[in-house]
Amino acid sequence: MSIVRRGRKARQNNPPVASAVRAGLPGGRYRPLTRADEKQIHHTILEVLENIGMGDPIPVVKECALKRGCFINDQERLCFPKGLVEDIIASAPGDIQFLGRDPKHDLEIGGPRVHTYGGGEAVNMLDVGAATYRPSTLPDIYDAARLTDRMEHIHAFSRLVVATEIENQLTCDINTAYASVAGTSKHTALTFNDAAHVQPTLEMLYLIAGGEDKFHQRPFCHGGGCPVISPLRYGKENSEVCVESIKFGAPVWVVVAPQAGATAPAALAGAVAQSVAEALAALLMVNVVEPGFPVIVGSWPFVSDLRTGAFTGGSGEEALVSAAAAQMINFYGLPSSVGAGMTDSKLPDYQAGYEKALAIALAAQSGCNNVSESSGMLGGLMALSLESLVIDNDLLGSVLRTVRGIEVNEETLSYKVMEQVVQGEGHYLRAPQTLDLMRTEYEYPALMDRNTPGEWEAAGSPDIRRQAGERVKSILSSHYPKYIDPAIDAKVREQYPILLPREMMGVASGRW
Amino acid sequence: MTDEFDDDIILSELPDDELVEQIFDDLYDGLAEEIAEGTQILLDRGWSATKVLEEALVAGMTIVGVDFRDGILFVPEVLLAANAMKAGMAILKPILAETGAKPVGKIVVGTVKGDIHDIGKNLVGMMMEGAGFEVIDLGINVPAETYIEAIESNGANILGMSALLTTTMPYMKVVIDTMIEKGIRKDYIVLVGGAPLNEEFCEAIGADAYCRDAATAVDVARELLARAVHRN
Repeated sequence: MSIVRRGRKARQNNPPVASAVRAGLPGGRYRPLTRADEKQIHHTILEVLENIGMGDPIPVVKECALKRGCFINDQERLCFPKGLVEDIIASAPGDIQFLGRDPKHDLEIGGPRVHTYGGGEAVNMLDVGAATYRPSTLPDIYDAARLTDRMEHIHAFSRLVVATEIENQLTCDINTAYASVAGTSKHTALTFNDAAHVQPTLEMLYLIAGGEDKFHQRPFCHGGGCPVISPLRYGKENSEVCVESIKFGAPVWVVVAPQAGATAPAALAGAVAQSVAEALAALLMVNVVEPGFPVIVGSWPFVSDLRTGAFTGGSGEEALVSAAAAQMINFYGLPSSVGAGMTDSKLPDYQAGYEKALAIALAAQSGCNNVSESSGMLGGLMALSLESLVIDNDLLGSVLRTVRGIEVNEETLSYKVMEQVVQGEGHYLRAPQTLDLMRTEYEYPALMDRNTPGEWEAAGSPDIRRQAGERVKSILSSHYPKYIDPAIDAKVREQYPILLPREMMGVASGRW
Repeated sequence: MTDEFDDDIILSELPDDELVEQIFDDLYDGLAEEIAEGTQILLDRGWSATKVLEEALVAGMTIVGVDFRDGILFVPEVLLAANAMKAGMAILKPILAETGAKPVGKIVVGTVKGDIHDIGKNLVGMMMEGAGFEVIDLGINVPAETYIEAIESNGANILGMSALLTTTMPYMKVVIDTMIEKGIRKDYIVLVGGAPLNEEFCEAIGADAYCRDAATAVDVARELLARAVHRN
């Protein structure tokens, strides 16, 4: 007799993980644009890039572009011939990797594979339980990284908030990178205030990685920026940052964010077309300088509330144009990124939940490779809430479950199981199929309240925010990973002005 | 990691303490045949049925209960464990009866007249069996006289009634009132459960306890039974 005795203690010490989803599930079932729409938008984009062109290219880009066959039109704008655009799109890598410090966090980005992470450099924090925002600081970046490190559906990390207290911008960029990689072993996207900050930051990362060669074997960070000022003009500083970020030897991220009705056409189709054209212009910029270099193409069409002219991150239109933009970038076979989850609500409330869910679900269903802005953002990208971040983790798990879809085959159709149950116990609770599937067919959110009304009242009628706050505190008071070796940390602190006190980086700090 | 553990454990070769540990493991994994075998081996080694029940089976199911509460085990796994427990109980029951030892408890369960929802009641039954209770399941649409006949003829300690409809839950009071009329209400612990019920309703109809879920039902049954035994 051979039976599998799984070992109670083994399971108790290492409880089986229940998860129905993973990073990189293929999306793409939701297509807001028809094939004919895609072609029309593509045609318009080619016209825009060849005839309207891009204003204000930085010298190195202009020089390289002209060598590749670009020309300057009578408006003094850099124009990309259609053939060149198509050639560069075809030669830019569609499949790229995000490597983690820990290989378990490696991501294979491309195709219709969906990943969810990131957020938008907010300048405020909404503290746990608070009703007002405060300026964000360096320890907030460290905490956000530590929390993200434990969120299974947030697949990578980026600068969710800015260390507003650090006045020197080089010091700020270096400290942001330090606090990020100290807090998470997930792949991290970095941002720079100036291209001159890339090299010193990289050198610190080499030190942390144990050498320049070690870093380049597994680049666990990449850089990039927002090199376009809409409509259709390059921005100097971020163009320089994007080009300089090639030095990471990892994909360069570019994001453009024209706002429909303000810096992009009010017609949604036009907003999508301009947004994709600008994102391609950013790709072209990197690729004329370094042909074939991988770029994460962030076409993030934003939307205006024309009652006030203000940006609205949470509308139905926003969800729609973001999904359409992702569809277009995927149409080109390029690594896609959109912003989704940029609620306008100031609190992790009903408005936040529905706005986030709508935008994130449509972006994910469209097959967007990098559903960014999807962790913790509030107030139209003005604030980060860690409560929201842990709620979003549940939300992302549910959305990814919908991306996974329903596997229909002879086994899953379960005819035999129905037959056995009807002729047997009369219920499926103890059926072998139920036992086999209970941890893999269903996604179990950590925070969503599924208690009865009676149980909920007995627990003091808690709302989701209270539950989320408890989860944040529980993780942040205990999860102090040692991703930077202490001896190396000492060297880093000798050579760089690290402003995150070491005493803050341990349980004894008692901050949580 | 599941395959690296020893698949070829010979239960009869294990000393008592290791065998009991293995029974804990096998209950945890819901292995009915192995539990029956382990139970028999302990009896053959001269353990009393009561000792086997308490120190091996009930103790093992307590571990299952704790891990269920902590979210490590899911309901289907607990039910599988309960099924294994039942296999051990099948061996112990006749011996316990012979020796006059008190069984853990005997409960009659059923969904009240007019109501055909039974998955919650079935869950309670399975969980109770897992805790070593003897369960007499009357099924669905049960009238008062059937409940009363069953508790009397089976010598049960506990009556468990379930209802899922607001229109059928008042029937629980009919059953309890009938028990009062017959002068037997105080002889039994009456537990009620079902989605629309709550503590207030339980109190209003004169039941002993409202059980919000199957795991609670087991805990409450144990506790009230212990109190009743203490009182007697």
